[in-house]
Amino acid sequence: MKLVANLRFYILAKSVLLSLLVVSLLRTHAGSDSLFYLQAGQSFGYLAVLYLYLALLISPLLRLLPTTTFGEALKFGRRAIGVSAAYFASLHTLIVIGWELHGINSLTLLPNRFLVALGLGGVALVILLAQAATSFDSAITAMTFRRWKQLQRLVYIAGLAIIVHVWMIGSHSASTSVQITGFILLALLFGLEAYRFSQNLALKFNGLDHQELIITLAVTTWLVLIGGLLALPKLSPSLHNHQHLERHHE
Amino acid sequence: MNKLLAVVGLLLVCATPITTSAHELLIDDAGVSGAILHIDPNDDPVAAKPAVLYIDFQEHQLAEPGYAFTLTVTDPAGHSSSLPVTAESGSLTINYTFADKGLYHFTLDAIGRDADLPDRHFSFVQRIARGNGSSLTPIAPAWAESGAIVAGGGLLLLAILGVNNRRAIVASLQKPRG
Repeated sequence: MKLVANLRFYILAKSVLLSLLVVSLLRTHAGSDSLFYLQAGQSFGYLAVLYLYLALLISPLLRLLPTTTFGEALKFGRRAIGVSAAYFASLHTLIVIGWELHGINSLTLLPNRFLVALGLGGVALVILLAQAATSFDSAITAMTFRRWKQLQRLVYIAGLAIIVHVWMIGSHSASTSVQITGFILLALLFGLEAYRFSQNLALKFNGLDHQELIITLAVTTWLVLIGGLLALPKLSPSLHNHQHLERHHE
Repeated sequence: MNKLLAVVGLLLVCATPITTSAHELLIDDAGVSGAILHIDPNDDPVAAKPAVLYIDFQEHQLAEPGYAFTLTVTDPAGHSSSLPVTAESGSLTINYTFADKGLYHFTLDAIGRDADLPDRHFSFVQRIARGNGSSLTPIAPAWAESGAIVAGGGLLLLAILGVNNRRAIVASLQKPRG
C-alpha cells in the first residue's frame, strides 16, 4: 500500500504535527517557563486520554452500527489512534518527569498521593507502549494473534489506571462540569462495552443466546461499572477536590 | 460524497489542543524534602485578582501543630511582606492577591517547635503575566512562532494530501488485509 493511500499514515502524521503545534502555541502564550511546562504536560496528558477514549470507543460502537465506509475507516484507523495515544502519553510523561519534577530523582520528594497517581500513570504508559510496539502486522504474526489479543485486552487495565490517575491529581478533576462530562463519556463507553461483553458471552454459551438475557446482562454489567465509578471519590482522594472543599468551608 | 466525508471526518478527529493547568515541585534548600505547589486559578494567577496557593508536603508532619510557618513574599517593586498561612491535613493554604504583573519571590520557613523536628526552608518564584500592570518582556523564543507556522502548514498540507488521495484511501480500506 502506498503511503499516501494509507489512512494510518495521516493519523500518525497529524498527531506529530499536532504535538508540534501544541508546544509552539503554548510556548508563544505561556507567561513563564514553568507555566509552559505545566500546560504542555497536561495538554499532552489530555490528548492521550482523548485518543485512548476514541480507540476504546470504536470497537463496541461498530458492533452496533451497520457497515459503512466510515466504520471501515474507523476500524482500520483504530491502531494508529492507539499508537497516537501512546505517543501523547510518552510526551506527557517526558515533560512531567523531565521538567515539572526536575528529573526522576525528585520522585522520592513527592507526597504519597502523587507517587501513587504517578505509579498508576506509569503502569498505563507501559501497557500503551507495549501495544504501540506490537501494532504492526509482522509483530502480530510473530506473537500469534491469540497472544497479541491478550496484550490488547490489557488496555482496560490501562484505562482504569488512567481514570484513577486523572481523578487523583488532574487539575480539573474538581470542576463540576468536568466531572459531569467525564461521567457521561465513561457511562457511554461502559454501556457499549457492557453490551459487547454480553453479546460475546452469549456467543460462547448457547443457553444465553436470548436478546432479553443479553440486555439484562449488559444492564447489570453497566450498573456494576457505574457503581465502581461513583465509588471512586470514596476509594481514592482527589487532591483538588480536597483543596476546593477546604476553600469552600472558609 | 459520503466516502469523502468519512475520510475527512476521521482526519479531523480531535484536532483541538486543550490548555490546562498542573503542579510545580518545590524542593527545600537542603534538598531532602519536597512539596507540590498548586495555585488556583489554573496555576496562572491574574494581577489584582485573588489567588489561593496550596502547598502539599511530602512530609505530612510539616503541616501539623509541631511547626510554625513564616511565609514572606517580595513583590516586583522589592517590598517584602509576611502572609498568613493555614495548615491542615498535610498541606498549607495561602490566600493572596498579586497586585501587579511581574516576578514574586516567596520564601517559606517551617520551623520545628521541638528539637527533633527538623527545620525546612523552601523558596520559589511566581511570574504573573496576566492582568493589569506594566507589561513584561516577552519570553517566547524565536522557534515558537516558526514551529506554529510549520505545524499549522503541515496540518493543512496533510489535509490537502488526504483529500486528493481520498479515492485511493477508500479503495485501500476495501482490500482484504490481515
